[in-house]
Amino acid sequence: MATIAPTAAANRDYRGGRYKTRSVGSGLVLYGLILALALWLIGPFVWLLVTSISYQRNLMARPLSFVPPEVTLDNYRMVLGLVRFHAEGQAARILPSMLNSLIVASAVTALNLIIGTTAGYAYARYRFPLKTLSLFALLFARMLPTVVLVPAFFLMLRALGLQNTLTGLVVIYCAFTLPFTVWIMKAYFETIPDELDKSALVDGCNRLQAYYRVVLPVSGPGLVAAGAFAFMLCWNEFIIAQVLNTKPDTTTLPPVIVAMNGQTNIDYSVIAASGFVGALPAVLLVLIFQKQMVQGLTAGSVKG
Amino acid sequence: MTLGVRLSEGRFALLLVLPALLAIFAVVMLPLLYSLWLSFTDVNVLRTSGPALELFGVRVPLFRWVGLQNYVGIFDDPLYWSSLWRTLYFVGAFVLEATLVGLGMALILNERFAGRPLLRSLLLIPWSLSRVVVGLLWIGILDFEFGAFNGLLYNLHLVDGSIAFFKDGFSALNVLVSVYAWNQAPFAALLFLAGMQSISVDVYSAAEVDGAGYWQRFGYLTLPALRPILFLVTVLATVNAFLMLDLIYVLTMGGPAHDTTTVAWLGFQTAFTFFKFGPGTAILYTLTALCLLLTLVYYRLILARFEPAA
Amino acid sequence: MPQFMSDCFSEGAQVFDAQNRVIVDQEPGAARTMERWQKMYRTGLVNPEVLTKTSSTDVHRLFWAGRYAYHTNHSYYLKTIAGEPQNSKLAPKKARMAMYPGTGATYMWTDSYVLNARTKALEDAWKLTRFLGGNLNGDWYVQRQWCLIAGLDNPYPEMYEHPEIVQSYDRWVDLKLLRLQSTKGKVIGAYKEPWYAEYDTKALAIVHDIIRGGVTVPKGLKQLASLQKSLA
Repeated sequence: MATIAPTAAANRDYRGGRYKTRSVGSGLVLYGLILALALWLIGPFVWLLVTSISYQRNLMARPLSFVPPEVTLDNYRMVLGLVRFHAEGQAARILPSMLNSLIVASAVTALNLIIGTTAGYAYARYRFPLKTLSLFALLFARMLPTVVLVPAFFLMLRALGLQNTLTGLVVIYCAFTLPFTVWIMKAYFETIPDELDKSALVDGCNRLQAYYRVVLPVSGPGLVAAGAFAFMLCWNEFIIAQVLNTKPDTTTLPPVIVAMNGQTNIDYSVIAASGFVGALPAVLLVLIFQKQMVQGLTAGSVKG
Repeated sequence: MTLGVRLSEGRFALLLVLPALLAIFAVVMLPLLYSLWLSFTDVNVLRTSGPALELFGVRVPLFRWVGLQNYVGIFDDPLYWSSLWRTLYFVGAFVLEATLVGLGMALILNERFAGRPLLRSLLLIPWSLSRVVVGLLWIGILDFEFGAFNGLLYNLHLVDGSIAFFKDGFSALNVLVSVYAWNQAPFAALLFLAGMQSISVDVYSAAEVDGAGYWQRFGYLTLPALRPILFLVTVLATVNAFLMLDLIYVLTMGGPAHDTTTVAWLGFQTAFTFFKFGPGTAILYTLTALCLLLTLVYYRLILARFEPAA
Repeated sequence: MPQFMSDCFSEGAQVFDAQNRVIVDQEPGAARTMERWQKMYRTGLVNPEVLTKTSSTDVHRLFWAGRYAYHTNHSYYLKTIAGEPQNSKLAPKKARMAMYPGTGATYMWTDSYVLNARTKALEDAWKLTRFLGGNLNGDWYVQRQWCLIAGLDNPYPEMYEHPEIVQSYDRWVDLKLLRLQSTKGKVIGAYKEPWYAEYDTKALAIVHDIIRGGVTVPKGLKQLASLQKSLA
């Protein structure tokens, strides 16, 4: 109570008079809700970290201590292959598959930024035949159940000899990320005034030059949003990698983490460590680029 | 300046979109058609001889046409129908939960308070996690033996022992709904938040001067303004819920019994566990049809209402 | 499903007939197994989630959680559970596992390496098979490594004569008992056919139904048998 009231009072200046000053009661309710929300959003992820630096016996102890009584890096040592244990064969796949994930996600991101961005620019600026129809196709591709295509991918990639290759995954992931990229970039380019392109044309650029010399350099935030989102989608994808790249060492990280969970006689704390290692890159990426991603994604979903 | 040929505006634009459209055609539309074909055939993945389509030197097997047999088979299977009803429950519950939780989060984040930017960044954490990790971390919370939530309940003397969240099929299904909502509601919150911040502050101030309370302002100002976004969030959540697979894979594998088997899971299992691609694609195609319908709704929605007038 | 079959076999029930057909509906031992599981589930003798888990890995994991009245374990986990001091308070001791319920006969599972009938390099493949699973040149090399590293057993008793194995097993298991067990072994001639993957998944749902009392034991076992007929 004593700690809440001054905060509420201090808020009066900070809020810049958008609403009336909160009463102490509603301030209490608000801060209670904020606390609950913070716990709900981050509690589970923090607990994953806690379990990954705990021993299983302390997780099973009742009453449960939420502050780990013993802290250990043993689980990470197992996951990173520094200690020998019975599931080390599976654990040894984590680092190589992480590299695979990195390769696939980076390649897809690069391709998206090249192909998807130009397409997004055309949709934002020009009228051309089939525009509406192809926009609808893009939208449909984005809402499509990926899994319905997987049997076809399976047979087609086998025919092409691309099963169990990273190239196969890159090609397929591109198709699923491109619609998002086009959409996000289209929305972003619409926020850039087209006087910019016009003056570039007047200054003697051709249309292509106007795009990559004038418009693209001021589109950093949009590119970051689209790129980070594409990277995140690839990094996190599980089902397609699981089904298409079954050979060990050709698959990405999520199937390997699931396989860790499928080991018999393995402690949950070790699985948690592998999960945390897998989650960290995407979480960091999103936190670093949050501002651009939030803008890009909300614009890309809400606007046409 | 010199681009050889001077292209018309339309052709230039087509050239720009062509790579992306070609990629999507090759990797989405072609497989989509091929899948449709597969759903009418008797696929045997081990057999590579037989009729095939030669495309640029690549031999794509076509298999034997069996007509509607796969579709008749799945519509005859009571498991398909029970999965469909279960999917509808799942979708309904998920859409409701994700939308309400998302709206609630957005309302909190729309208030001004110290630490709001921090809380907004936390919002992205559940959403940025791979569903594989989401599943694993909720095992750590809900597990009967070592789950933290069970530990909390025990520490608070609310239960004697633990709650078996996955013992009962209905409870397991609801766990899936909530875990998925934990993962997805933040995105809904982002959309709601964007909508709330586009509402003019003057309107609120005027309402406050007129003495409207918080809930009156919410009911008469915020909610009507958010209606298009509410609709958008619902459509997106519906599609996502119909297609959710990865959490089922990690958390329940469709069990106990078939109690968490949705249509997507049934199709996935039929195709990739039983290796029956024909019936599997047929099941998944019934989902695709639903998604096509929802895309039409979404398309009308965003193009009709959000296309900037300029 | 492996757990169900294990329990059936130890009750003296045959799960498959000579033609590899499922015949649990004719076996009183299978019915006894199911009734026992029903009871265990109802009275909470086991982790309440274990009998209705879909993944057999989870079933294993939960069955040896150790807090419950009923608990099963694989003998080879004894190597880590009872043999290594950093993992177990029991470590210097040798494990004593109770016999399985039912006839008291213990059981072992064997995975086999199988040669395709149309193998191209037949001679070499046969040699490789014997190296992996047998005693090529009179030496059980690969099988012995399994034993030493993972504690994984082998159905051929003569392998246990090797001094390295005697020394290693002596730390964590009663080798005399193990030898006695292999003499009691009976071969069950079932093998996986293409229908098994689908059968496994769908039969599991029926087993869950029986355990939860959704269907009576005789009816459920009939369903298990007719499910196999519909898939084979």
